[in-house]
Amino acid sequence: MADPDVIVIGSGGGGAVIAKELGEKGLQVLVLEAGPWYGHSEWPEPNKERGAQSSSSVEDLNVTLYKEQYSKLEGEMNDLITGRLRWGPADRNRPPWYRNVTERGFVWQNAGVGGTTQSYLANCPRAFPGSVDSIWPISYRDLIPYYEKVEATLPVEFAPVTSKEELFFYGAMKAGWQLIPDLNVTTPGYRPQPNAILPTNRHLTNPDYSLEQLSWMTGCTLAGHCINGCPHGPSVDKIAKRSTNVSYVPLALRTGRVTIRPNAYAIRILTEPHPSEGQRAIGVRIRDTWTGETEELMADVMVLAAGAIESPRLWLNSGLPSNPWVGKGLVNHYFDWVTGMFDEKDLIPILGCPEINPFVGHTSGGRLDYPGLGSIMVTGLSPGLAASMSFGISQSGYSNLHPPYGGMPWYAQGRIAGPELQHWMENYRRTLSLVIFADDEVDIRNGVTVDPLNKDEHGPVPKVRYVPGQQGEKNRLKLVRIAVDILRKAGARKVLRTDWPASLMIHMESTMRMGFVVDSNGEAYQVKRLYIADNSVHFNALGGANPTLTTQALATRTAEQLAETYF
Amino acid sequence: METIAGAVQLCVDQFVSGDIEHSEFVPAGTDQIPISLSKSTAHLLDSGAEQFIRSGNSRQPLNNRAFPGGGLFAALSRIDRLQALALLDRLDLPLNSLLPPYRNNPGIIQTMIDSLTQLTMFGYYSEWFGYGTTRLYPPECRRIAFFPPGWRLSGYPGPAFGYRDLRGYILKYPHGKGGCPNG
Repeated sequence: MADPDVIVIGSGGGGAVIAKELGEKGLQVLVLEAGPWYGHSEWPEPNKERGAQSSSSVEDLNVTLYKEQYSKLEGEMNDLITGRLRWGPADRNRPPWYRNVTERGFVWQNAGVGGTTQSYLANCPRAFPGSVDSIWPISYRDLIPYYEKVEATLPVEFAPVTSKEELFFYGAMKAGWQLIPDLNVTTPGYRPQPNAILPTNRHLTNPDYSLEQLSWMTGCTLAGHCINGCPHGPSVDKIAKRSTNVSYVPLALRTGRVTIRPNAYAIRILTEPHPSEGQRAIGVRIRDTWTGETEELMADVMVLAAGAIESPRLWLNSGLPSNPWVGKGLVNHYFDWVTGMFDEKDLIPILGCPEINPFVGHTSGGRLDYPGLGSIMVTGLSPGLAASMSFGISQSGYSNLHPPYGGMPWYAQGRIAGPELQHWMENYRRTLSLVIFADDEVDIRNGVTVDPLNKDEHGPVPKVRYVPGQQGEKNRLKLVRIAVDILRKAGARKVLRTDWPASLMIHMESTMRMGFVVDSNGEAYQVKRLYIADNSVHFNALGGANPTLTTQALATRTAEQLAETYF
Repeated sequence: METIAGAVQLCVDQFVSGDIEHSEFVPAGTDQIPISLSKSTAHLLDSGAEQFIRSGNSRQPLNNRAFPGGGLFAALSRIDRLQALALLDRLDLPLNSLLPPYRNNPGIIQTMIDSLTQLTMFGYYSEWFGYGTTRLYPPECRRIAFFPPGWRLSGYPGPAFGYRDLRGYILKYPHGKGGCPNG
């Protein structure tokens, strides 16, 4: 595309949204994406060869290729080192892109059109109002129309109930929690997940339709592959799980004004001094991840939507003005993970069957929200991920090397190995896992910096530090107690708390905060015509709600402000 | 409990060392670090084993024949190997005696101890062993040859087109109603 009005860097949760919104406003938009584009005829073998340079054709979205490439095999899809959904170049023979995480842990992100929404669980809660009002530079009321627009566009629907949700809700009710019917959550309680997943196909329980037939029709089939990358639907734009590559990207292409260029890594924002505007963005230098060639692309406005790690890295590597909050204030919802093991005889009266089968249904279809503390979500993973995330990673060491917890012979904490691991995995179909994420406080000591001596082909690599504060620690512990209680009330005979390390990073936010780095419209204070539209602009951790919907609402709002200001 | 082929019998160590090698970061513009990441990781494990033996807590005799060609860590009994990993996890050894990138780098040591455990479990319970003779091929050249034993053991049926376990909906989403309740 020659002379775009706007260049958007990143095609994930935020970038795809702002591209579609700007395209609908009549602007010419070029989207740059570092990773591959799956499910597109111009890239029939996206991991093997470079393919085309870019595409603006919605007709070339190819669901047959998409289904081949999104194979539903967790090793092929989710391996963070060699998988299709990793943070790395399209060529899987090359290593992933390095992040220097200073504490124990790793960053879980995906490159590729759709970004990390490719493997996200599509959970779309709004922020908790009490964590926005009188705290953010904008009010919760300001956000509501944009939440509504995104919820209608994706669309967001409440998740259906399968066995694991039924057991979770049963435990939550027995533990005394109430159902929350409201989208604007102000009191604690449980509810079905607001998920960006199409309702189940209305023929799902009709045996006249085979499951394979149903997987080619519109609607979720409860196949349980949200985290592996959902391939089910009749066409790319009707895939059941609404990652942005199947929702906002097709809508953006349909405007006829949006071009997407995969395999293009942004390495420098270009600016110039301007007599009235001051320093302003004019373009970006990119590197082709297949050929290594660099190129400079110009536009009237630049939008940074590379995520809470890469956006500050790009600012820092571009020599943009110094600001003590660039890269700083990282929050991460200090996560934990708790798993219960159940007996057949306890499950039959509750579920009518002797197994939970955690691999069935939305990967996460139910949650308990506690504004100000955070959230607990029922989560069912495929077995390799289930084993490695439940039993393989802990800051508590090996559970069998600890003495048992007094008075709680049913409880253990830490990694497990040997016969104990075998026992848990032989009972995989009777396990229920709950992920916990705690609201944590912004701390300027946490965040992203770059070390000029430690660089890859795209410049100095991000060095990421995250140490949770006291409030995050307290919130997490309270949520763990609630989660363990729910599992026990549901009948769990054994409970294992994994005790994930704090730097296991899934919900990174607030590294380019609104009010400090960008204004309430998303434009950088110090660089005109440079906007940011990803998790990094969040003022805080939203009270503990999943970040994507809020990023998408803000991206929709920023598109309006950007178009009004400059076009 | 059924006696089954464990991760050693299924050669999951090849998966683990392959992934570790593949993840190696070599900073641009510098020479290759002296030895590969899987070798420096093996050295890390041997250092942990040595420190563990010195601590006098070893419960069982060393056995050099258990894994021919292996180092000190491989000669430890199973429970002592776990203890050596736990010692490394606690950073209970002089960190300046380790090889790069572990030397004086506690975060990377602890991340690797988690990764060794996670990758072993991921290799065992994912489809990897089912790739048969293609399992050590480059990622784009692997083909599923048979039902992996980890799936059989866990009762996972493999990738699915769907399931009919629909138990209904609790709430209907209140689109365009300002987020008002609508049970």
